[in-house]
Amino acid sequence: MVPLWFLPYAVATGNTFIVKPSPSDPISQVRLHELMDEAGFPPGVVNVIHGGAEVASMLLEHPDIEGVTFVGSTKVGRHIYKKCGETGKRVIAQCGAKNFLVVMPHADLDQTIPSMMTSFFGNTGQRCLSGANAVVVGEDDVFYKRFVDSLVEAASQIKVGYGLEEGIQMGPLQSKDKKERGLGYIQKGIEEGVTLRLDGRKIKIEGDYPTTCFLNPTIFEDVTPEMTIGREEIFGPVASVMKAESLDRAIEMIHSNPYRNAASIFTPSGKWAREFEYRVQAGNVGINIGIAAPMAFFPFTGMKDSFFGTLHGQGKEAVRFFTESKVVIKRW
Amino acid sequence: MEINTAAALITYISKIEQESAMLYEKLAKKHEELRETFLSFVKENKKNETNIKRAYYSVISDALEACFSFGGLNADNSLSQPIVDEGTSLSEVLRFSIDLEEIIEKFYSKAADQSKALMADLPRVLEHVAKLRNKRGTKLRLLLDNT
Repeated sequence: MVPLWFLPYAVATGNTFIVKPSPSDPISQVRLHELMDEAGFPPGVVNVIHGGAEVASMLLEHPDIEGVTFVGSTKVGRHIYKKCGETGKRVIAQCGAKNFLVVMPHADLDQTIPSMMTSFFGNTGQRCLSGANAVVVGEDDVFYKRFVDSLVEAASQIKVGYGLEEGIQMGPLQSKDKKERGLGYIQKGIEEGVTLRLDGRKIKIEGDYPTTCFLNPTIFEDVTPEMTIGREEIFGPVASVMKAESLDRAIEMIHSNPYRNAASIFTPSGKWAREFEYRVQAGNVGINIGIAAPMAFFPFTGMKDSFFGTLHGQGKEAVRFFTESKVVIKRW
Repeated sequence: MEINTAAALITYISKIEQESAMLYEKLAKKHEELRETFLSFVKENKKNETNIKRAYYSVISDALEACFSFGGLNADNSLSQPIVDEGTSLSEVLRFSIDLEEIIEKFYSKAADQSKALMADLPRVLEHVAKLRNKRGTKLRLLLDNT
């Protein structure tokens, strides 16, 4: 999916394109490029090169490569941005995230909770638009309790198993290492003294599969933005619930985090939605949407540590990224 | 079978539309006097399936693909191909079709309601198909009254 945020724009504007898939997940790219061959793409227009950091470094330094697009961690994105600065290449580096979902009083929980399930646990939380922190605004303890209970209830019902079965809602993590990372964050949350409302370490999956890479949905309560699990990108099915006394405070909490990929608000109030939309400093803003994923004609606009570059992927910005501007001044 | 993902819903909708189209095709052959009506249902079924799939695939997004839209939405086994044998009278056929359309309408309404938390296009088209099935039920009731 990810290379298609860039590849079609590059090719449509007359470029050739090299994809270097993640070494952990190369198969889908191989298949995609087989299909492109079948579709009759001329040889050399789109290319796949497999490899790790060494291959990436070679691409970053190659004089014939004019631009680099990247989706991955902030650490690597920052390195690529710096390296391309040295070698004079343009860059789109879409990086890590810690997305906040703000729940205002009177939010319709029947619609909010399913959206949040999608956001927190879709793709097993392994995407940069996943929700990470739910911030419940206000001092209505009854509403807060109803929200958390509903969230826990819905998450505990998620069917976990083999992702290619139609009825399965959440598959495994990408590798054993990724599971270990998730487990590490759960342990860290416990050590930081927050309430573990749903413990995903108790593996429950549909079907007879090894549990090596599986982690069930996990929900923490009473988390604060300063805590490790409230601050760092987990990239797994772990949700943190926080409280804020006002929308101002919720926005402050979002702005205290270095990542600004996406932020959403759930509210029936146009006033609050508008205020959030204008004031929140995040690249992709959702109003009653759990995953604020822009369609292809809009740019994917991360900010701060979630993005390095000037022009973003997708939309007109991608067209500008893959083309050169030229000014001709004439006198006859 | 419980339907809890958008992918499962789309597969099941294809089954509903294709199987009920097959039923109406059979009925069109068997009851010449209502041939045009039944064939119009067949045509509409095909259109419904196309429109729903188009809505689903054209607004395909992370939100839909993550598949947590549906809870308590069940695939009704009674929707599977019914037996219409030679001895079935027209009024029996119409009564059966009215019941079938009611079940299908309820299914679509429930699916529309449960997908409201996600992209608007899918619930909109599901609601539209529910309305069409409701109209079809009304038409069948009128035919039954006149039989």
